Amino acid sequence: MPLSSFQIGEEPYYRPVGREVRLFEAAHAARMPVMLKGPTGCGKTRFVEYMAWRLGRPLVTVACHEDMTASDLVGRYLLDADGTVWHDGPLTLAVRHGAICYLDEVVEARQDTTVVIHPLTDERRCLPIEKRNELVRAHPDFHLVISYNPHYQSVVKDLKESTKQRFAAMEFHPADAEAEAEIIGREAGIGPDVARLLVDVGARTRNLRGHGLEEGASTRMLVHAGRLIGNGVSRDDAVTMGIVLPLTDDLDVRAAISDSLRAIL
Amino acid sequence: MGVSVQDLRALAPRGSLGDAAAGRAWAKVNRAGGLPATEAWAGECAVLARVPGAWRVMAAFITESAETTAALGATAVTSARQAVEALLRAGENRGASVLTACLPDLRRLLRDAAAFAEVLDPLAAFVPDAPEAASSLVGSLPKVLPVLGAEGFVPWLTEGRRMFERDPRGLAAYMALSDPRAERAMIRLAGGDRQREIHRAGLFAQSLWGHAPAVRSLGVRSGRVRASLDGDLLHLPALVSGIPREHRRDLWTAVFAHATAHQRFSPSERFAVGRLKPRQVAVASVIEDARVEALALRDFPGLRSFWLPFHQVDPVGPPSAEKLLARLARALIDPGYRDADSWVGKGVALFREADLADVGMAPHLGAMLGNDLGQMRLAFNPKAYVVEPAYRDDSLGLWRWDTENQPPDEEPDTAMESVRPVDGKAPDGVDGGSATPPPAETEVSAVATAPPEGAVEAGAWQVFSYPEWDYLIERDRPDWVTLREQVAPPGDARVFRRLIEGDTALRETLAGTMRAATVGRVTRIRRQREGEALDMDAAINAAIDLRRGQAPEPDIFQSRSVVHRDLAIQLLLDLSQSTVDRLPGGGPRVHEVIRAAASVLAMAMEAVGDACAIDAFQSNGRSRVDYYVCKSLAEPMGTTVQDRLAGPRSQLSTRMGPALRHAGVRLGKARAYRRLLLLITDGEPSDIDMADERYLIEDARRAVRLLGGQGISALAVGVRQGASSPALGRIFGARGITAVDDLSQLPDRLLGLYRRLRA
Repeated sequence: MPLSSFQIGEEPYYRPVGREVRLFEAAHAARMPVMLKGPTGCGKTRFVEYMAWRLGRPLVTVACHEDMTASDLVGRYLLDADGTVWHDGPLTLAVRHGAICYLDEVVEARQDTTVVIHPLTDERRCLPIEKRNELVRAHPDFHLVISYNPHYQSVVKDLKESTKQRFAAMEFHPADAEAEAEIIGREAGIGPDVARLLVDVGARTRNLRGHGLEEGASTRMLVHAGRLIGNGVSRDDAVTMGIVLPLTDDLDVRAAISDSLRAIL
Repeated sequence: MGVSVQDLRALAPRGSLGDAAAGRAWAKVNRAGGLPATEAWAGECAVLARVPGAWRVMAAFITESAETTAALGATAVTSARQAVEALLRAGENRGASVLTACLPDLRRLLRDAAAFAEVLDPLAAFVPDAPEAASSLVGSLPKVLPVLGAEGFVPWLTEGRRMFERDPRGLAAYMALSDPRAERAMIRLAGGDRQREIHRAGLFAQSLWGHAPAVRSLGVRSGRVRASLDGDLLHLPALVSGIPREHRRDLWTAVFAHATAHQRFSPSERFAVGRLKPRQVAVASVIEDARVEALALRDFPGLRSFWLPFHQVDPVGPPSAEKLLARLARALIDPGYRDADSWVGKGVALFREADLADVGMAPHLGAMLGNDLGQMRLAFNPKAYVVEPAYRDDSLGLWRWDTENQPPDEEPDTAMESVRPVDGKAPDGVDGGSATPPPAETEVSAVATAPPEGAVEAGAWQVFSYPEWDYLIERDRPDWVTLREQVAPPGDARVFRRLIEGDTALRETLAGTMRAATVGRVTRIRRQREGEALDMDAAINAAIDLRRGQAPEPDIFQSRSVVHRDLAIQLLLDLSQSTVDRLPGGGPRVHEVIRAAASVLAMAMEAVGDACAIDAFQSNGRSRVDYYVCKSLAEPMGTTVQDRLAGPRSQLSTRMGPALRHAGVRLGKARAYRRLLLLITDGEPSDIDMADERYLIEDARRAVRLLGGQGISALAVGVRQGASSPALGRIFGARGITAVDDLSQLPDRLLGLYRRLRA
């Protein structure tokens, strides 16, 4: 099977927070393109991995960036000893063989690149490859998923309306305190008390959103701090290294977060 | 050669220094440092004895200097002797006596010889300049030093000298602490970075419960020494009394934490005073403080470590009502505190039994326990009562008085006063409440939203407050300059238009210049004939073609190119009195050239698609810097803008620093890849209240540095500068200035500036 290396063998740890699993399953059943919206580090990618495993489908992930061209998605001719050989890009692979294709942080790519997916997201479900003069009809199991961070406010970088409207959307935000503590405990391998403490610290930083911080600490950052604590680092150092220093360069905000850690303990 | 007690006695007037006293002094020094010490000490005494008039102080000096040598060493005595000598030589006999008499205080306040030198050496140097003021200063030392310490003394002294440069009487009043500015300066210098600490404390409060109150500073003259919470407005005093020095840094954090605890847990409806007596109100306030803190500690147990250090009261000494209140407060929060007093014990027991969620607890317990205080016949003076510990608010915001009972120490109006953002000059201190940091620049605010943008009606001034940099003490003076901003009133543009009329050649050349010096983002251009890297797709296509035996497309490279323009320019025009002069040779007036240059530049910039704003300024002392907005970034060049350019009269002086800072704040709001501030001036900064030429130059230089830190390049065009002015060079850097004698030189000079921008 050509996509065997993209199959997810082990169950990825994912703790549902709402109805997202059922909703995604419904969208998948209809092969409806799905957009996952939410700030960084709150589980979008992990969710897609989980769903791919759960549905038994291979998962092709593409991390989008500004230099990405259509060829990076669709494929290109490469030179080898025998001459030119066509290589399918990740998107084409998924389309041909029926995988879930996950375009992560799709906003990073240029808009003239992202329009490549348009023919796949409507009734046509096909991918034209001009270079080969080929029209690839999507495998019945092909499913397109993208992630999108709406807080990244840039006038230049946004999804076109015509692109956005082709998708159904699901919103992700940091889990509630209990769920988040569970996630952190599990991912970082630490006890529930420490996990709850980190959740508390995260909540303090989220209160500062718009008051010196663009974003509060993501769950991922809290997991980092947790892992450091699990490796024997002191709580103060772990919070500083995993949360405070990456979040901000503003000395006053840093002092405020450190003080709030002190207030929690 | 040894020094004998007799020798010592001989230094003082006969009979003034007894044998026993002299003997004790000698022995003390000998015990501390042996023979070398006694010789050094005696040497200093001998030097002093030769000063005319020293006979008045010799006896006292010998004994005190002995103690000083024993405690701190001989160098301390040298500093002391020099200072006393300076006073005597200046004829300030009383000052000399006072200084000698306050040596014990100085020993207590200044821990070592270095600190002695840090204080007394500058004092000695100060005496010849202003003997009377120096004498007053000596008397103030015991009050000034506890607040400032040795390291804060010289800045405070310098501040006073600067403030009263040509006013000896004012200077003496400052040194005597009878001028309120002396105390304000003390507070400012002692308080560390008060604005910054308050800002941090506000962020801290915000992080706890997602909300921080707006802040307003109370002036020194208000006499308030405690914070006061009124709804969502937190009034902060300039000076909080009773704080040990080592806890000063955590003060504001504790203040904010306590205030936000009230906001979170105290009822929104105030308690009615009704028939409660002042002592009952005081007790109820203590209970309520303890209640909200206890609730806060449930959410954040670590807050205890912020509040506990300020509870310093001990369960000893005769009980007064005030002390008992403080002891009750401590007993309710400090788990390790033991108090044998039965009233305190009763209060604690009642508190522990009660339900913390019951908002009626405080008035109820307050009535009961306050009554007990009355039964114990302990006097309570509500007018003199100050809440302890120092981080707690004065509780005025908790209570509602009806017309019969006024609050003990405050008119209701003042207590309930609300603030409007950036509304006008504050009577004292600063209006805070809704300004976004950078904290160094604008009003004190905790955590806030941006002020309402732009749109000021013509004729209405918006008032701002800016710090100024004093290069001598290497510090900003906060809130030193008042700047008022207004949309420029329209004038007659013919004043300068005739200089540009018909000079389309000039405009075209300028536009060409600007297009040539593009500033913008870097983008990739694919399919180029030449470039730094292969364009993969094109290269592969070429290879394919080659294999197929066809001629390949040669454009297989990609290159970087700066294509998009993204530049915002703020022109800042100096319209001071000196610009009324004509250019050499009877040419046009300088201000006409300045306005014309601005107009031409703006038009050219518009032609190539850059955003350009034009502002102008002039000053009349630090309390009045006038700032005129002629063109905002998005506005098109047209007759309206040109009329505004002609509006402000050329007059007054050139205080560059505040204008640069303000222009920077305005430009900072622009979304652009590069932001450039271009000052067009005819000379150096100067102002009527500043004799020191270097001061304003250094302040402007600092402003330019700060702008650089914000990502704003600041450059200057000097009109009527034959060679580059050294002052402008110091402010903007040698590469940041260009001189223009004639409008026709503008294009070339500007191209040079732009090229430097790209570098």
